[in-house]
Amino acid sequence: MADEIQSLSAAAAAAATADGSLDRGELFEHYRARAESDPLNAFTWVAPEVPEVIDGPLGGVPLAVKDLFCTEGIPSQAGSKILEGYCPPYTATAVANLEAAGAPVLGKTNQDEFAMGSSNENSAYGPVLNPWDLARVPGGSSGGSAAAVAGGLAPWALGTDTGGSIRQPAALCGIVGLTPTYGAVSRYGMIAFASSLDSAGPLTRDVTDAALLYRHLVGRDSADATSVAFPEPIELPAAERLDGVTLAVPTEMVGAEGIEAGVLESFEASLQIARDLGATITSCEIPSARYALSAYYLIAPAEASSNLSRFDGVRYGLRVEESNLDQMYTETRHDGFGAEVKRRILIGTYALSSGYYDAYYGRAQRVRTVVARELDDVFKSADLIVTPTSPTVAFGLGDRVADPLSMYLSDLFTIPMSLAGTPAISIPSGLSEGLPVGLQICGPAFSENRILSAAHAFERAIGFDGSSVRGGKG
Amino acid sequence: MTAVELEPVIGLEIHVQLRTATKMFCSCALGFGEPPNTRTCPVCLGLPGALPVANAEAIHYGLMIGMALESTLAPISTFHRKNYFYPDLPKGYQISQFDLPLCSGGKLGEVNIHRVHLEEDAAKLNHAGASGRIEGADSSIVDFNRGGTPLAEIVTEPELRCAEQAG
Repeated sequence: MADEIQSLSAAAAAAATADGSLDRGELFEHYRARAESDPLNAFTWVAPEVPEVIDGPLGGVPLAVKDLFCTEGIPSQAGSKILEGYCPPYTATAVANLEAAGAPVLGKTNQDEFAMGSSNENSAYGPVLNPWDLARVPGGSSGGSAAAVAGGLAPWALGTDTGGSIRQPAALCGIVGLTPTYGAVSRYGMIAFASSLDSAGPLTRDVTDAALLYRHLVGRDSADATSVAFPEPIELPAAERLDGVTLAVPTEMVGAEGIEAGVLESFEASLQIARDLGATITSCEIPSARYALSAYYLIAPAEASSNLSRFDGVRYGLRVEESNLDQMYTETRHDGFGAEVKRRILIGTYALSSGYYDAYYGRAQRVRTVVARELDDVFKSADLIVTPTSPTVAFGLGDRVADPLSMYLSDLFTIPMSLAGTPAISIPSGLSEGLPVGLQICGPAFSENRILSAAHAFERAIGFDGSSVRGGKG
Repeated sequence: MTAVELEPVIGLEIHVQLRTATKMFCSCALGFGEPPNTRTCPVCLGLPGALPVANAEAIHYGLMIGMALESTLAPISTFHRKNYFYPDLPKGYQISQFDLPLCSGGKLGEVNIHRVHLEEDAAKLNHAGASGRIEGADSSIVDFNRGGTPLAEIVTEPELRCAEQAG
């Protein structure tokens, strides 16, 4: 029975609970026990018992939630020591929406501290292990969510993406990760990293599960002034072909140095599959993409430096008791923040300081506008843009920790879309030396249905099977 | 030794609490003299994950002040964060306005107005100790009821010439 439950996708499990062939309590306990065993260090909190499960379209299928989502009465630590044990008095809208639709919280997942990282090695709660190879990283910052789904510890998960933190771990773990249009999902209750870039989205076994979860995530929230109503309902995709679809490949980006041969091979194979499915492949240029990484690593730290000021030991979280205020602030933040967080706060504060504001932050924002416009231009003559999601497969634990810049390069393909606030999905395109490779499919704002549809056709043709790592049958 | 003659040059920044129903960026009701920390919510406490939503009534009042002062009302106005650390500032920044204030220019009688902008008030600190000030205090407590109250900051040009005129 356990094997059968394990084989069910979230959508299939929801259908099974709806028709009565699967008991919700049994489903929850099945995953609760797996989450508790946690050989991947993917969870920082697991539900101690089966909760009362609300009836709804999500069928009682338990949901792993990235730790930076506030969950009332449940530790929400954002991977940081400075919030160790912090239990918020309210629940994030995104989580509340999913709970109300019938997806109870299974546990909170480990992550890079304050969403800053691409390997989940920046967590104060230890690194997360990639289920495909326990000596390798799952990617980040939503590493716990990705590893949990890939490793069969949770049927689906919620993550966040600021520069690639849903898509890149999805690629490295061989699962699906969808980053929405900025503003489509409420950020209320998401512990903020970079307010103009942060986005919540699903990490799932397959594209249909992603669409199902996403359908209940979107919506205008009066508590988030940057949220907007999604202009059309989210559909469950059914496409099996790509006839009439034009896919643009940014040839300069894809031809850049530092991209593994195995990743390129898998990407080329995906393009051939696309042609076989009737798509037209064109090439495009995003000339300012080469500056996108630098612009991002000015904008995001700048916003983070301000967002993280509230962690001062006064009202919640860690406080190092000292005899005067300044000492208390300094010691608390010194002890509470990890090295990468401190690095970004310093960079961000510098970039925003008087005299430098316009030269750094101001200029980076202008580059951002140019990148967004260039992407818009591509979408005038192409339906979607495709790239590899990550330039490499999962790297070894400890490999890049000493070189932050090499770590930042992981986000090469995902960052331009983050800057533009446009949606993108990563789906598994195959294996390279036994490790998953991701295919990124991007579209203009609010084109998620188009993206999900194309992803569904690709997924069916690629036939990637992650069951050896996840358990159950493929 | 001759005394240096100095002439007073005074400009005023006047912070006016706006009597709206709720705070500048959240729906906590405004009040005065309430028991401490009873008019708070995740937003005005600066809890992780909370987000501000601008109070339309406060913006309306700000514009009315601008009209009364014959200011130019901005077609586009933006909020900025003023970042600093102090216990009465829960987010570690105050949401205020910088280069695109709500109203520019204007006059009140003979005094020229530089600008009018909106911002949120800080919380209230009470220091336990002989002087009632932070220096030498045994401890301090913070009451966040006031934090987030809408303020209109009216800035005059530095033209006032004596204390009586400033009054």
